[in-house]
Amino acid sequence: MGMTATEKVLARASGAVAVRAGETIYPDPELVIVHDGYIASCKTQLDERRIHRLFDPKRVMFVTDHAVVYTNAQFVERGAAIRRAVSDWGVEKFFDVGQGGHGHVFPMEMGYVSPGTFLFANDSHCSNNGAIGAVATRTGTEIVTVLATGTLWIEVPFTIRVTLTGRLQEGVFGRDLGYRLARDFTNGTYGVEWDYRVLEFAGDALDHLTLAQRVAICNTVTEIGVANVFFPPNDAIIAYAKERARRPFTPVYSDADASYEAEIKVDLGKLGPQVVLPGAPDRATDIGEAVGRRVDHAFIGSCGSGMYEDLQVTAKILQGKKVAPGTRLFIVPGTVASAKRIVDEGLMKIFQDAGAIVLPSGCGPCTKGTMAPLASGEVSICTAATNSAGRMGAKDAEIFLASPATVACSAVQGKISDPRACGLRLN
Amino acid sequence: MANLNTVLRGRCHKFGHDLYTDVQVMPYKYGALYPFDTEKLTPHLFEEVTPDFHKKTQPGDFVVAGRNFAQGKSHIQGFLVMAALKLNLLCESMPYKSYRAVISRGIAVHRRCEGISALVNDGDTIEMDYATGRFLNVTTGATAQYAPVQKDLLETMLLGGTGPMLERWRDAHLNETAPSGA
Repeated sequence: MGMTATEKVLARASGAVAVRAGETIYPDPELVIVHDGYIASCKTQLDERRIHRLFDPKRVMFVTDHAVVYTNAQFVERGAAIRRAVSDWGVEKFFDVGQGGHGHVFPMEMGYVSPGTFLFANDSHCSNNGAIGAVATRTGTEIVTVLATGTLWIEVPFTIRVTLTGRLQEGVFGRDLGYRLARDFTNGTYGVEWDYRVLEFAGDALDHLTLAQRVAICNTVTEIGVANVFFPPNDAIIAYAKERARRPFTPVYSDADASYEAEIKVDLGKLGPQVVLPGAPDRATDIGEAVGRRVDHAFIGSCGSGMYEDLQVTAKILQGKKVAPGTRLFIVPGTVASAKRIVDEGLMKIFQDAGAIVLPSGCGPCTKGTMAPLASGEVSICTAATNSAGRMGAKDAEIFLASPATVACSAVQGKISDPRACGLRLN
Repeated sequence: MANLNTVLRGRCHKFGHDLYTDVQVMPYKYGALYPFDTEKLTPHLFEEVTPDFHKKTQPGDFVVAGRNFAQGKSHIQGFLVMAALKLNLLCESMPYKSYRAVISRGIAVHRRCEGISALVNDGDTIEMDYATGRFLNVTTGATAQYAPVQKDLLETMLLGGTGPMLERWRDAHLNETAPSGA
């Protein structure tokens, strides 16, 4: 019996010939990523336990995306503590405020993560790395164990194969597919367990999905509790990765006789734009159910929809338009490189002429509203990772989720709007 | 491992299916108020299902739950209190994230006890050998055989979770824990 791609990557990282779903293993990571919310507390915990060095500082990367503009005294102090930890531990891959950008995006863009890479990260949205054909495992607070010992127990997850047919229609994007999948897993449409499963995508339709679309899909299904998402890299993705890889890599693919726990098929051609209703990220509905709802706040970007291609779609819609009176639109480029590029290629002017506000690369409003929050009773439509009460400020604010195209159209109209009605070719 | 007692015996506190971490296990409002203050958190453990639950337990008792125990978010406050009260856990299923959180806090857990809800009543004395998976309801005589818990995970659970395991690792690698630049 063959192995899935995830099993192959985990087998190699564990020094094993083969691993099987359900087995407990201790993989050896090529990279360990910790974001600014956890670094200082890891330092405190290890200091308290008299552990004063990391397993291998060269394989550790610290990123700054949750608090990139210190908005309170606590964040300033935390930033100072992070820099002390970096110095004490000798971490070279330290991306401070204003460097790199979002830690779920720039490591792929800068060639630190390539097809076949195995890495640990503290945050669940490290699943984004499945877009390029890597396997990233979320550790939560147990990242402290990885930093000290270099590994952590994990169960090899079971894999569900999701075969995509057809093509995304005009105005429909990866984010729409991810929202629909999240809903259909949790409402029982597929009749399969999804907790701690890998969703591995397959099918001819993959050739039409760019890296940005793949990232958006990885990002949106993660919140329901899947272990990971994996896209087999096609020629375009491999070429992209080769241009920036910092060391040789070998793409990994599932064997033809790999064992899948379940198989589902999705016809992209039948999918329309989705909007996720406030309260939970699996409450997707066809956009028609929400069209016309007034919006006070809109936000595009950060970890799931902040790649340059997402910003290009946004610019197409905002070109020559104005954000509606009474609505504020925030744009968060995923990386510092994308932030520079929107200036170089004229997108920045389009955004500013439209009255949008471009925030620094990072999580933006999606981290408890420390930037650009919502007031009581306000309504947002955005590309945030999730939409639980209080995610972006006031607990009684309502957060709708949608694709960048839907968010941009809604910001222009001041109400939730179908991107297919904007009269532009967007895809 | 040889010195660890893997056979645990205690009183059963039976719960149903589909308990949410942030609702029935512990309303999250308390986690938000005092996230690591177990003394203040303790009165709220399972209070939505059994008021004053904490007054009815003794160290070594078991929480026995049905399917999908601790679903939803994997906030740790309920697990912190379970660990402080020295409770063990058996359930028919639970999400992986919650399972990890429970183990990291040093709670003895078996999350694949299929059908156990039908084998226990509230207040029964029960016994679980986590190393072999053998279950015994001492009160009724009912038995079941489940999968053994993997050795390394069992050690983590029985030795107090991630923190004590890190200290064990440090003691075994003491020479390697000097500052990186030293």
